[in-house]
Formats: sequence, C-alpha cells, structure tokens
Amino acid sequence: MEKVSDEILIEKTLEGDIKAFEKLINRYRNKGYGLLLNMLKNKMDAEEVLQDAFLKVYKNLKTFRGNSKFSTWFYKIVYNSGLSFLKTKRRKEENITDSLEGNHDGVIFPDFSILNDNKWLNRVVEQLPFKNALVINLFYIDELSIKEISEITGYSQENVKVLLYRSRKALREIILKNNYLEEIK
Amino acid sequence: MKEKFEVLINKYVDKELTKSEKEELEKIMEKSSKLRNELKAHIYAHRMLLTLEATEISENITKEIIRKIKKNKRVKSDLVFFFSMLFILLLLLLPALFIPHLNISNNELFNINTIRGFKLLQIFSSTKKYFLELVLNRITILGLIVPILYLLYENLIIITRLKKLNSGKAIKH
Repeated sequence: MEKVSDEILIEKTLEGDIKAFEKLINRYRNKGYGLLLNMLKNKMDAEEVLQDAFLKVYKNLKTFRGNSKFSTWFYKIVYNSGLSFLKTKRRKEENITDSLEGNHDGVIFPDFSILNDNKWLNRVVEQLPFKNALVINLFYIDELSIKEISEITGYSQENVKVLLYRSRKALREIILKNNYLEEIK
Repeated sequence: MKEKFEVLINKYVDKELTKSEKEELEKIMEKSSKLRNELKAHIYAHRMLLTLEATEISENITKEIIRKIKKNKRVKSDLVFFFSMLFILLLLLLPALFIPHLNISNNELFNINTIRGFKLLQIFSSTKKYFLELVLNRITILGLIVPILYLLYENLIIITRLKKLNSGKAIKH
C-alpha cells in the first residue's frame, strides 16, 4: 500500500479529519519520544511532554506553511517543549546552560559494554549528556542532515558536527578499550 | 596531527573528504598502525550508530492524544455556546437595563401642568409599564427556552457521538 505523504495528512487534518492526524501521530510518535527521552532522561516525563507537543502541533497546524519539511517543524516543537519542560522544572540546569553556551568538552561514557544484550548501544546513547544524545538521535535514527539539526536545535552547524565527532570518538574509545575490533575480525 | 586526524576520519565516515585530504589521511595511516586501528574503530563506531533503533513508545499514547484533542474541542465548543447564549441574554436584557432609568416624573419636558401634558405623561408611563412587562415576559420565556435549547444541544451531541461510535464499531467488525 502506498504511503500517504505528510502534506496530504496535514491537509486532511485541517479539513477536520482526526483519523489523518492519528496517522501523523503514529508516524512520528517514536521519533519524538526518542528525542525527548534523550533530552529528559525520564520515560514518564518524555511521555508527558510528547503528548503536549502533539497537542501544540495540532493546535498550530494551520500555521505550518510548508517552507520546511513537516518533520523539521515537528522536531522543533518537540525540542522546544522538552527545553521548556527542563527549564520549568529546573532539572539538569547545568546541562541546559552547557548546551546553550556550546561548551563541547569531552564526553565521559559509563562503561555499558559489559551488558550482555544488544540494547547496550541505546543505553550508552541514553546516558550521554542531552546535547550529544540529541544530535546522535537526530543524525542516526531520524537521518536528518547537519543543516536540519542546526535548524531544530539552534546550534551552529559547526557545533552540531563537533557534538557528533565527540560522540563517535567516545564510542570508538569504548570499542578499542573492549577489543571489539578483535571480535569482529 | 592528532586533531587533524580526528577531523579527517570524521570527514571520511561522512564521505566529505576531498582528494587532497584523502591523500593526507593515507599518508598518516602509512606512518602509524595505532592510528590505522583507530580509524577502523571509528568506522565501526559509525556503523554501530547506524544500527541504532528508535525507542518505541506504547500505542496507547495515540489514543490518549486523540482523547485530549476531542476533549479540548468539546470544551471550546461549550465555551462558544455559553458565550453566545450570554450575549443573546444580554441583548434581550438591554432594554430592561435602560428603561427603569427613564424617570418620567422628573423629566422637565413632561412636567407641564396642562391637560395635554398630563395625557402625554399618562401615555408615556403606560408605555413604560408595557415595555417593562414585555421585557419581564421575555426574560421568563427566555428562562424557559434557554434550558430547553441547552438540553436539545446536549442531546444532539450525544446522538452524534453515538452515531460515530456505531460507525467506528461497524468498521472494526
């Protein structure tokens, strides 16, 4: 069955078809959740903020002009909702300030490689400072370009690249430390 | 050199290396087996990250969001209904608010001690009485009509919802 485009679903939603919006939610809920989980580091909070973000999307859908992709617009709303949540609750205040000021000091990963399941990589990413996890999430899972990530987060393209490089480097160090290269030979 | 190496290997995995940068990286690789190993690990890290999967959230969240949207819509339409009713009520009450203030006995224009003036006063006071009665009647009628209309409105909503529910069930079956 052919996949209905986001634009058509938006059009139908604006005409009052709630089922069309349901499809949009199903299409983007995991992406939004992953992003918020990396930002908030808490499943309950991520769920709550995701719901609010979708309500904002529905309310403001008529203002979406299609100048950018719907996904970029959606991520921006989700990202800003997550940021306001963090600011309101004054959680991880250092992390927010850190990310806004663009301080990109080395990332310290906890050693999750000892976990004997294939989810360890997800856990490693989840434990990253939110700016790093966010960039990894948007780049590798949501397959967004550096430019799009920069648009969503407000970081410069250079900063996005640095965050990406540092995260890769940290993972590389885990691989080298645990001799994973020997295992795959 | 290490810094340059970091930039080059990242450009390598992102396929952004220029020809000259590629040659530069190859030269660095030739010199150090440690850096060669690091490049391998870097590529491996990149490939692992490519296999990252989105964390899934329960399907129930869709239902919950839709429920909230419908609830918000209901509240909005109820508010619209309430304020339109209030507006209509105010429109009907408007004459009643102004007429009692027309104190004809104190009005110099009609305080003329002539038969004509006395008749005019009488006519005016009976008109005032008539208007007041009319407004009071209207308010009484309105007091009956508004709840009836509201009940009809509520019933209409319930019927529409039931219809939607039935059609939803029909699709599922």
